[in-house]
Amino acid sequence: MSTHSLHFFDRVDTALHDETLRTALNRATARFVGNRSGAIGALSDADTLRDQARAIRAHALSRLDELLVRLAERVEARGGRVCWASDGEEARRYIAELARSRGVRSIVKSKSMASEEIHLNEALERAGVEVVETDLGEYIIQIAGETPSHIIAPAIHKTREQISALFEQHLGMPPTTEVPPMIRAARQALRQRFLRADMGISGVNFGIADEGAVVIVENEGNARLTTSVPRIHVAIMGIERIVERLEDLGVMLQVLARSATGQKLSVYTSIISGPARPGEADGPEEFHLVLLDNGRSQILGGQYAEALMCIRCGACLNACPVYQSIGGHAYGGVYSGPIGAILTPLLQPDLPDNYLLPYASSLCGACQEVCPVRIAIPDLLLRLRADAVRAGKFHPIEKPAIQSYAAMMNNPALYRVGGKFARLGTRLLRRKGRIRRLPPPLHLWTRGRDFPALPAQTFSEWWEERERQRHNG
Amino acid sequence: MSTPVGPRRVTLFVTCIVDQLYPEIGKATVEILERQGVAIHVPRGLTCCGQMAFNGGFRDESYAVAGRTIELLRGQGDVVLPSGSCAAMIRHLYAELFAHSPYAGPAAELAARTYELTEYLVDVLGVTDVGARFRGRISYHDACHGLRFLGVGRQARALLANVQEAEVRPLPNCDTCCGFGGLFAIKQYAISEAMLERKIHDVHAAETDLLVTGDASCMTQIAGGLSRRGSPIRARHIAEVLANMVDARPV
Amino acid sequence: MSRDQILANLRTSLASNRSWLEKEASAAPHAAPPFVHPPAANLVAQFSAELAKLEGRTYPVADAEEALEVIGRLLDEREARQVIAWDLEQIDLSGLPALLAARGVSVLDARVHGAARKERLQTLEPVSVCLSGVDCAIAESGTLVLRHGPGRPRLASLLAPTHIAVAHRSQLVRGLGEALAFLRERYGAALFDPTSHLTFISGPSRTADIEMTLSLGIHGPPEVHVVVL
Repeated sequence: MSTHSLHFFDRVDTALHDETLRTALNRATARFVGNRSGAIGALSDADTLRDQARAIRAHALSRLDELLVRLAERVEARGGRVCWASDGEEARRYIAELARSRGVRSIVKSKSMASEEIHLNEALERAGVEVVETDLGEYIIQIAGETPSHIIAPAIHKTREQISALFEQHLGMPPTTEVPPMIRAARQALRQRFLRADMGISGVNFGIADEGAVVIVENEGNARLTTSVPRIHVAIMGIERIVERLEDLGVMLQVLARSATGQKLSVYTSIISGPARPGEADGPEEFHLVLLDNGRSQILGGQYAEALMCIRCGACLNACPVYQSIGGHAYGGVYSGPIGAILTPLLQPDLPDNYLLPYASSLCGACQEVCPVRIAIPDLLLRLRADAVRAGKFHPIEKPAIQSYAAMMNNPALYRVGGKFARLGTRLLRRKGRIRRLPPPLHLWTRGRDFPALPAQTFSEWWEERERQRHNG
Repeated sequence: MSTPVGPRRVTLFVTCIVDQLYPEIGKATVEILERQGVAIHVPRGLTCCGQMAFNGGFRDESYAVAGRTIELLRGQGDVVLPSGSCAAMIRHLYAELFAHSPYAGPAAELAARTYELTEYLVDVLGVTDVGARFRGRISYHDACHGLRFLGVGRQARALLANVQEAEVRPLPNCDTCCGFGGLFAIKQYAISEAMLERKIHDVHAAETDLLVTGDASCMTQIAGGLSRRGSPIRARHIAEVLANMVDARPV
Repeated sequence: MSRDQILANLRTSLASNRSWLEKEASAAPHAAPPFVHPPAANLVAQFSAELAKLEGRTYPVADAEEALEVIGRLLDEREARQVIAWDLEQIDLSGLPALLAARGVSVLDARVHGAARKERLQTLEPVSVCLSGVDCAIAESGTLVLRHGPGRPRLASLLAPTHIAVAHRSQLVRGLGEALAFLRERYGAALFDPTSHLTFISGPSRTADIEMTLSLGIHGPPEVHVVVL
């Protein structure tokens, strides 16, 4: 079932009516939120650690040109190759050409949001290469023909019964609803994929400029296998995902693991610098680093630069009551939740209803509260809304409505008269002191909520009357 | 009737929603402040902070409304609002709205003397017992903007703890958004309703008589949901509780 | 060329936002704290408790003899005849080669490259035990730090369902910050020379991708045993 061809409101509607999805979302986000707050709460000084994380990310962005050059030079000095890709097309072409020239038939992939962003799998499959996602959640949605619905837990929208059916069909697993046999079946099937693969493709959590290294964080071990077993390792990194020094990890890995899953550290952190050296027993013989720009170099100069500090922990998704209600697919892009409502319009600008995403927020601020690098997500959403309005992207009724609101608020006489009419109107509609139905467009309010009947006298009228009486009395 | 004489004087900005929909909240605020010996001034013609247009993305319209509000509040001393959201607009978002504009300076100056009601009572006046009484169970919902952009919540709880005869009961997920969000409640009505559904569920789970919050807008959302479901639980603004005016209006 | 275009864009962008970013960058110190939880007096106990929370096991032992006894038992329980291991002299446990020899356990050749790569991998796949040393271990998170390289295959902590690691009390550090500082101090600028790979391991492989149910060993070892002497 793909909901991506639908309009945003239809996707929301589909999600809100999907009981299975809502149960799964409630369970997963509540667990993540609890784990995170436990892990952050246990720190002696979490606020300082987050301030440090933000400062480290800001520092890296402030020297991004210089750090990328350093990273690339050091990767090359260690025998790796670097591809600077302006957009998804260049990245896809480089990797597809690499696969072709090396005679690659089978690729294993570990989690990479950047590769999702540029739809890499489709391109490689078109080139006749078999691509297998190896993160369990990613694998499940790959065989289901879907896309991730959460940065950290891509398959949270699936039930164990659905997963079991997929494994029966694709792995020949005997029917079960127990989790351990499903895990064993997936381990066995995927292990053979690793051993036979010619190339492994991974994402990158952090590049380290000084070391010419990339850092990959995970819990399953699939990224370790992806980067160690096949002959060729290709790492895809959004150009903003960089820090300057190895020591910066002492802050970044701690806030990442705690914010993402509530762990002190993720199970595996691999720091990889180039291909296997001569004398090493194992490891890839070729290492390629794809530095993906795809709009980031220009975002850095604008009013959304702060979004580039994001370390993709997913904490803002879990904390967001909108995400909790509709899940990831409703957002329509690769990145979902509050940060996705910012990143998707910036990184996937061609999606038609992008301009609606920044409105998919009540601006409650729960996202900013949990962000490990303190991105002012509500402020950025408000700027995107202003951009949408400037571009003329809004419902036709909004402009006259807002303009009459502003005219009333700017003119006390009009404000008084307008208010009087509104109050009179609502008094005609009231039943037992409340209104059950308002005329359009306010019927959207009374669809699910009553509205109070407006009082006969405003506060200002009361106050003026009282002041008069005081001065006369 | 004599004007209360006190060392303090504040400018009261009741906000457009209180002015038009809930004058009792404004009256309650007056009552509470005057009882503390605070002299109140209400500038003529004060209407709205401009948040509705700002949140909708209509910055030009917001700029006009908010700019006028800055003018009206110029030189008016401490400003108190019975709303965390509108106070947050002035304290937090005016900086964004007026960046690089002639109002940048005046906006910062205004932000520094703007307070949400419970914050003003507890942090500035140092009062936590305002002589309120309510016989029943009370639960407090942290309205988002006050909580996250002003750090308000502790003050309201301190004040409610001193309401005589009241049993203050914890509200599960008290800091989760009710789904109001200004125009969000209309533009994304389905998501807004889903969020409200969860809030109503938590309010019922609290086994309470009165749901109290610091913003009339969130109160409207929660009250609208409770009323539509025929719930006996009422929703009130904290000022109404503190001024013993819980029964001053119907529904 | 894309490289030049990207760098040109970045420089244009930074012309507008660099000063703001620099201000943000200077708002807090960058140096990582040596540890983030109150350190315990007994680091072995702290390490052991943390690893236990992650479903890994620690065996504090008094001497090499006791360490060998534990390892021997673990090998016997798994009926291990072959292991994937670091070069034994790099594990720093005297008597280990003799222990393996006495049980007829052979260390498989884990050199995986060239034309025989896939064939060698298939040979290694059925092995039930991985055996490695560590560079250091982090007490507050139950983490093993392994610097791979010549004589230290990555597969020796990854491929088999059981990973046995040998650590010394002197290798325990309090926190991640301290571990990174230790690596820097010990290897200096040659941290990635002649190796390409550092791994931090905190307990067994885990996933919660099926209905948030925690399961061990989806890809990496489901069992991690750390012998501390």
